[in-house]
Amino acid sequence: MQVLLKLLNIILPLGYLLAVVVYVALYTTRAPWSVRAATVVARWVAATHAVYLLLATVAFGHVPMANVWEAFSFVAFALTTVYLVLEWRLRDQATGMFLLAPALFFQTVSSAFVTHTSEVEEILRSSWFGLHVTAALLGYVAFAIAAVYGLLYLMLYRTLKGKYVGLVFQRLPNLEILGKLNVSAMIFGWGNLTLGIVIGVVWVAGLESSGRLESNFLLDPQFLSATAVWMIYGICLAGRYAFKWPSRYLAGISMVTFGLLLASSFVVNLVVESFHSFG
Amino acid sequence: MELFVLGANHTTAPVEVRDALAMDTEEMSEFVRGIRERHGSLEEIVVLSTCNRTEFYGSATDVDAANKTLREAVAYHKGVTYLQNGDYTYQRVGRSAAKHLFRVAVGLDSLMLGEPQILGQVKDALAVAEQSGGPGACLTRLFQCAAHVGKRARNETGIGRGAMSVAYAGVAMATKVFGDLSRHSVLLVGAGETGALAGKYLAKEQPRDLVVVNRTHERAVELAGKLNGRARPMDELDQALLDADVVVTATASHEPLIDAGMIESLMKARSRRPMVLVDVASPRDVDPDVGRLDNIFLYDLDALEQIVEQNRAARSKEIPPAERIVEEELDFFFKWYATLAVTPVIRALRGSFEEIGRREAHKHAKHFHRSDRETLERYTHALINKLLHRPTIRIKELDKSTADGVTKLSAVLDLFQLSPEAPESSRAESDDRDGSD
Repeated sequence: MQVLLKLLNIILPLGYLLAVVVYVALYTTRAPWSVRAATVVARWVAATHAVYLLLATVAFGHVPMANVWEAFSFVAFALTTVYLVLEWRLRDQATGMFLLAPALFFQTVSSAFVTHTSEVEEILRSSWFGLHVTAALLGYVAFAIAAVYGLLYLMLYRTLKGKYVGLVFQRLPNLEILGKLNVSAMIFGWGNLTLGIVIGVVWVAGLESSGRLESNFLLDPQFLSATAVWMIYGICLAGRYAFKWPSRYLAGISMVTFGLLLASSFVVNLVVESFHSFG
Repeated sequence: MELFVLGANHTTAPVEVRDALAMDTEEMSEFVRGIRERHGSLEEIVVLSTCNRTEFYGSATDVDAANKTLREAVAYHKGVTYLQNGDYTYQRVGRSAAKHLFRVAVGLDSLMLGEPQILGQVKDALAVAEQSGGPGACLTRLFQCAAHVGKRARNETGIGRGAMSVAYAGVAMATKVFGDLSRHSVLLVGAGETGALAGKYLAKEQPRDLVVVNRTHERAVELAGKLNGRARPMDELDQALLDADVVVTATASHEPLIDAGMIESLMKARSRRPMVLVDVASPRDVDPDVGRLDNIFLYDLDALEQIVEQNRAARSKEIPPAERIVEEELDFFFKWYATLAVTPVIRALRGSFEEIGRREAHKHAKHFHRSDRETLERYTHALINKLLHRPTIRIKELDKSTADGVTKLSAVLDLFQLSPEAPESSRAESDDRDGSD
């Protein structure tokens, strides 16, 4: 099984690369072969990824989200799955390359650095852990999607202002839809991150009161960064609904905030000590 | 039997000639019925008549005789001799005629490259001719293929993409910002000819509210009535702008009616909600500085013409892939046409029956003793021979050079779901032959 996992670890980035190439061809040329192949390739990659995550869970006895590299792989899988659902619902393949490109990035980084181990701390086998990490990661995935739709919004905005009717104009959905997708993704992400933080705090408080864990999580860099991100997105959404901030501001903020989120993830996981670093 | 087309279009005939040759649905019906009744040299006929072309598609054993007949019939029917001297016409035969129709259906032969109406007109031409007994199996198949080619080219290439008129380009930009206009308000400033044209395009999008403002209020009321909207007096322009998401201006004013300060103060009141301004007036009704404001999308005549030009250039780039589709579908059509020869049809029919016989004999072989299986196969073979004896003789009697023969051969293929191989000699029959006046 270890050999198979290693093999899948190599195959997955290649699969994502292939999917991105096909979706780029679809976006730029609309060639019939790319229209036919794109969804098929993306589905195969998602299915292979599901098998990989399942095998890793069985092989190592815990959900493969115990470190940031494992989490990156889950993010790639979630991005692809969410995109495929959107594609199926909207019957539109045009935004595929924009969502699968970050998935390729996350999976490539994950494949390069990931080390699975079955020797993880006991608390990582808890169902609280599964709920906490799944909610938080779904939140981050939604923020990634919000950033992508934010980028697309700004691209189309620029195109419409500049009176160009090239590929961006022809292929992307209208500006209003892109704005709605951007805000919807932020709402979904903020809701999930809220849930993730609340579950985490309640769980840690419980562990501390029972004496099974000693932590000062209020000063933990991961906790602080997640809270900061939560606050920024919260302010954005409040601005949207209380002060009617225009979609263009939200599109820009969602991109910048996601950039900060990515940067803080690297810093927190690679540079500073955090009680979120396990096994 | 040979396919051909005789016609006149915007490249060969001036507008007065095209107008004189044009036929409406009733005329087409009458013409087709008349020519089928009186002239035996024409096996099949379909008339395609639009504002830019009148074309007669036919099939005949003697194409020259059929053409002469057609020219005389048109002269008799329309009372003009434009087709007779041949100055304004073109004629194509065989593959070239089929190719011409396919290119017409795609919009490659249109005045406005890739225009969408022609596809519907091709379908209508077949429907009208069918009601009058004009087409047989060959022209029916040809026109069906043409409709398929037109649809395929529009789906697989950008030949029909992008607005090609200034007014429609304005509407296209608005729908790219808001999508469905049924949830948005539209304001039309100016009820003149240009305003009415722009209003017509906007009304097609069925906006939530369509308001017309004009210096002469009565004209605003009149146009609003036609567009299923409502009119407001000119002194309420500010309020009308506040409510509108899409504004189209087309007045004869010499000074801009809308300036940046006006829109800036409105944008605060509308929480910076996006607004599209389409200025089709000359001189301009909207100060160009308005376009610099956030969430304002301003398109004046220059911008719209630039957009139309970009669309035209983009469509031109799609000509080679569209031509490739035309060639592919021509190959398909002529492959079918070649299979209508008698020998391949008989071979395919026998092959199909033999296959069924073999399958059934194999399926039931277990119920027979080993020594009886050979008898079973012989019996099956003999039964098939008996069953196919009369149909084979009848098929051999069919004459492919007549529309009736083609229709019957085609029916045999359809009934038994046969896909015969085209013989090499028959393929040669579909070679390109081009004739022109």
